[in-house]
Amino acid sequence: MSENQLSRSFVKKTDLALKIITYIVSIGITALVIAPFVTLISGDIIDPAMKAARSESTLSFREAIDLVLRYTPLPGAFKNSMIISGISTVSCVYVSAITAYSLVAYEWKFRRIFNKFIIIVMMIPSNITIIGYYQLVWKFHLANKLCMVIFPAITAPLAVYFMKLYLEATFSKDILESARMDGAGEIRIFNKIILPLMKPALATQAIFIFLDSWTEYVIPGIVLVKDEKRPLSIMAMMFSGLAADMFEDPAIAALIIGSLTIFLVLPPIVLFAFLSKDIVEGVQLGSVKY
Amino acid sequence: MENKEARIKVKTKPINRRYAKWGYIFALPFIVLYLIFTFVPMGNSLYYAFCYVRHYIGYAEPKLLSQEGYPWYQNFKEVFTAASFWDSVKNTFKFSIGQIIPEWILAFWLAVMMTDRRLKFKGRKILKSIFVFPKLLAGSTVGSLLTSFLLMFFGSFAFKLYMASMIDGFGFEFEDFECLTSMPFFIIIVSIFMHFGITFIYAVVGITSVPVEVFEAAEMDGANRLQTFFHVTIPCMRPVMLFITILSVVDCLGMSDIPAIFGYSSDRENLTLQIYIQMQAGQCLDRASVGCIVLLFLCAVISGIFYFAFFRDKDEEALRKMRRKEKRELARARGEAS
Repeated sequence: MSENQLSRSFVKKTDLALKIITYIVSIGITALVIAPFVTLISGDIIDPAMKAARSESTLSFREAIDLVLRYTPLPGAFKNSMIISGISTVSCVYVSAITAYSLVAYEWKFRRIFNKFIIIVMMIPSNITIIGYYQLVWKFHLANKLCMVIFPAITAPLAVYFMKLYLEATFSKDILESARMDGAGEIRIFNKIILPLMKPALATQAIFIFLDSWTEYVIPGIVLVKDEKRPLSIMAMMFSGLAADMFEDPAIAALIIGSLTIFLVLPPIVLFAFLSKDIVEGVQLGSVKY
Repeated sequence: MENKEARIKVKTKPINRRYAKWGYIFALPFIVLYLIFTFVPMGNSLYYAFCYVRHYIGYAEPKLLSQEGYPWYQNFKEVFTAASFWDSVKNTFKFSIGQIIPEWILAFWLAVMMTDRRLKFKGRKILKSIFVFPKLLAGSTVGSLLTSFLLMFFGSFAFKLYMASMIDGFGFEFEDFECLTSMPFFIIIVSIFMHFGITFIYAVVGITSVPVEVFEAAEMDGANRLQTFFHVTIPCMRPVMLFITILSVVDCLGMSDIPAIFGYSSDRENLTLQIYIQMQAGQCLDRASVGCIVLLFLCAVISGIFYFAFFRDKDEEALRKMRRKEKRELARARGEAS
């Protein structure tokens, strides 16, 4: 047996070992994620309040929902949340894409400076604007307007950077030139050719932008103070504080909060289920090319 | 007729110039919205650090510190002499470092293994969804259920270690495991669990963006996996690495929701910078602004260090410099000739 063959069999063995270790680790993490739900269903429940909920309460899911609807403005809050998250996600993705396109496709004078500006601005944590934003909103009497929550969410430098990377990898000037030859306008080229081209990048960013705006509670908390304007995230937070006082039986309170939570959790999961197959993979991102 | 043709020729020649205005038009919405809704409020926030804003909620302009008879650095002095502030900075660093290092090792290791051609790993797409699942649930009651389960799991694990140490089979002392039941440890574990999926997704994005031929070449030359990762994969996915780094740094330094689950702690074990800012914003907006400045400064410095140390394309920069020099020399030569 030659030395070469020996080393090859050794490589195969380590490969197998690595593969098994990877499977074990990923299955372990999966178990950690899934276990809470399994215990929830099987009845071996951690939380004593939840345990009591199983044994004593006679509330069905439907009755719990009825109670939630009676005591909270759930449909309105859900609608507000949908409006805020939907519009801000769509417009954020669109604005980021068009900004990235302007950086990649056109040779304007301040392009390089703008590019550097985006990279610098990425490092700014979004939370530090809140104090100033609060003052701005109240000074110009713009509180309780949904658009004031949407506008700051539209500009996301990280999304612009990511889309720029993606576009640099997939975009070629030939497409642009042939479309121009056929007499398409610039906006039309972007909408009809570039946007479909960028679909994976749009999907990847849309998931996280939607998630951020769906669970965001700081900016809506300071801008939207009227009851009928509140989004679901804040409504659920306030109601879960109230529910413990409202219902004497902690089991029923826990059940009601739980059924309210379903509305809070479902939309991001549904969106993820729709978009997860489009997440970017296997595209040569970035300027490193060979 | 001739004149017209000539004009057309002149117009079509710099074709990229002609469309340059669309670059401005397309970048304009972002710039305008960013300036109005992020830059102006940020400037406002930072300006309050030099004002006197105590118990102040209203429409009037706040007064500068000097108008109230204080020196301009009064707020900075108050914040920097407070022990709670330094505790919050210390905790933020502790949590960030404790989170980023294991999270990155786990995420990148799994990403490399799952994208390795030789291993032919199956089920990456499903696992990807599962890894992000905690993040999708975070911020809701189910998220806190998940958190509490995780705490239970690691709590019972630590308890078993306790028992083992009591039996004294392995030469461990009781105190050796004290760190495993402490609050910072739990905060770090939960943060890793919540944030790990995002890092994993972008790590897979970055690794699959490297062309396969490069890996093949490295394999031919006899590089092992570790060498391939550090000398081929990481340099090739540099732009995505910058993205992942900034995402992690900003998320970690601005961490507030997971430490906040543990409520108020008298010895300030779970006080991070973001929680400090939120607590101060209730009473003293000016001190909160100082906290904001510190947060911004830390983010800028750490991201800047990463950028200049690892992610800047040095070769490209050198090339650009050389080209510029050549152009200048050419222009000078032309000038001399004329």
